[in-house]
Amino acid sequence: MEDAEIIELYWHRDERAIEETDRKYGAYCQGIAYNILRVYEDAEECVSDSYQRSWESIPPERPRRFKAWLGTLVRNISINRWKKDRAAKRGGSFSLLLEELGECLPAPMDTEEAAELRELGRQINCWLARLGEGERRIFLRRYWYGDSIPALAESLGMSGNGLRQKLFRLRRGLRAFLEKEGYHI
Amino acid sequence: MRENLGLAIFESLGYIDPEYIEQAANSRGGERSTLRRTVRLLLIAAALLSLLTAAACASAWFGLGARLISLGGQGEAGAGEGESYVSLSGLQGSPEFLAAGQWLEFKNSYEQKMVEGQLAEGESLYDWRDLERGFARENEYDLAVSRIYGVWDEAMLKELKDIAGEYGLSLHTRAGRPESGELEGTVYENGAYKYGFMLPLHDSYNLVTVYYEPWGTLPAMSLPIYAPGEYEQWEYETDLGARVDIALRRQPIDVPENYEPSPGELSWDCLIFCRGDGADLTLRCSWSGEPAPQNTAEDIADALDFKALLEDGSISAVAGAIKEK
Repeated sequence: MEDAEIIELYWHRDERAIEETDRKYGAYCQGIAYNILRVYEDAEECVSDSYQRSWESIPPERPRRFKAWLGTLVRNISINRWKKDRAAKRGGSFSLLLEELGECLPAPMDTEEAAELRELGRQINCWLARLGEGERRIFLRRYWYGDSIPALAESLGMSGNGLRQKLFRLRRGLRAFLEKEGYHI
Repeated sequence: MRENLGLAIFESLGYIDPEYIEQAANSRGGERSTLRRTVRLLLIAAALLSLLTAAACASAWFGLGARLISLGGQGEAGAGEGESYVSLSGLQGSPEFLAAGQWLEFKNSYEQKMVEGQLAEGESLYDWRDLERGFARENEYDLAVSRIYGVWDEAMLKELKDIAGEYGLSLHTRAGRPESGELEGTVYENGAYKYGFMLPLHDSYNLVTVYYEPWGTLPAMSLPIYAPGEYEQWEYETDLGARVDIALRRQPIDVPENYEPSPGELSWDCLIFCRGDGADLTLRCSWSGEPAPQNTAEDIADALDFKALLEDGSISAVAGAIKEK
């Protein structure tokens, strides 16, 4: 079913909307949540919650890019879930990913401020626009979707070390960009 | 410290251009490569199937009407009001069917009551949910069933256990991915599974979801269904000798009053049921543009060896049970 048809189901308050969303994007959402939480049941719950949130948001919303919209939704829900759990579950592969990303930020910031996060996102978007499509995909697969280094390296036909170096250069490039743009708090 | 900075960047990436998100998704091993893997599996399965011998699968008239759980309204298959679900295990009157209905009735009304309470208090809709499930943390079984059945507080947990006890049913205690990396789905501790895959049919692929539920356990979910009275139903014997029940409904579309949509503009929702060897098997799929939907529904039924799936009872049997049409 096309995304527009699924969104029409939401607008008609037809419960098949959830079923069709799950059919088409269940595995996609599950993958995003699992890469953050690393607990299957928790990921399932976040996916369920994201469907609930979709049901509550559409209407009035009518996402133009439903897949990205839904992915962002499940990602945000999973991040919030991870934050709640992290005191008890500190460590693991997601923490490692965050440690990597932490190198990119030249200055500390108030991480709770949504407006600052949005502004930082806008800056990073400018930086992403300057990258080649291949590099942008690698960066986002690692840091938006949370793909593991071995899985990403395998799908790209690269060695793990080669990929780590590539990611290191990208992170360094992002940090330099943010510094150059005068990004500071 | 650095983890927090990383989290800030990770969260800020939530504001980037959606086009970049979709571009990256399309290069992932998620959906696309999963489909390619599945298609490869299907082709291998089709070759193996020629070696299988067809055998009859015992089934009587056990269609949608016998599996329909109607909440807050009429209980007939023709019900148009209230919420309706398809029981994934057990027919009307069976412990599984009755327990599933009772649990759904409780869960929906309880959640509604809690949400209304939150609204009255001016709180966020879902603040009543104990996300940490502190009420079940000290008991591994309680925590497991709470996660699987969407239980959010002690009252829900008590009701769930009471219902299962009343009907002499077990509860699922483990849900995970299939062991094989090739398969996308959910497998439970008793072998029950939900598995979505692409079925080759008429030179294209149809997305199909199969639910397998052995009797004796309360299913983790029931399938929501809209306008059950609009389903056309019939019994059918597949090419491989299985007796199945098919339910087919044309999905509503918005068109001007005097406009007659062409077959290509119509889409269909189809359910296929088969039972035996101590379990229920339910298949759900939808498609658009096929001029003879009844034939398509029967072709889909012919493309799966239902008897083999029920006899084997494991998710790994699905790939081997697919026959290319």
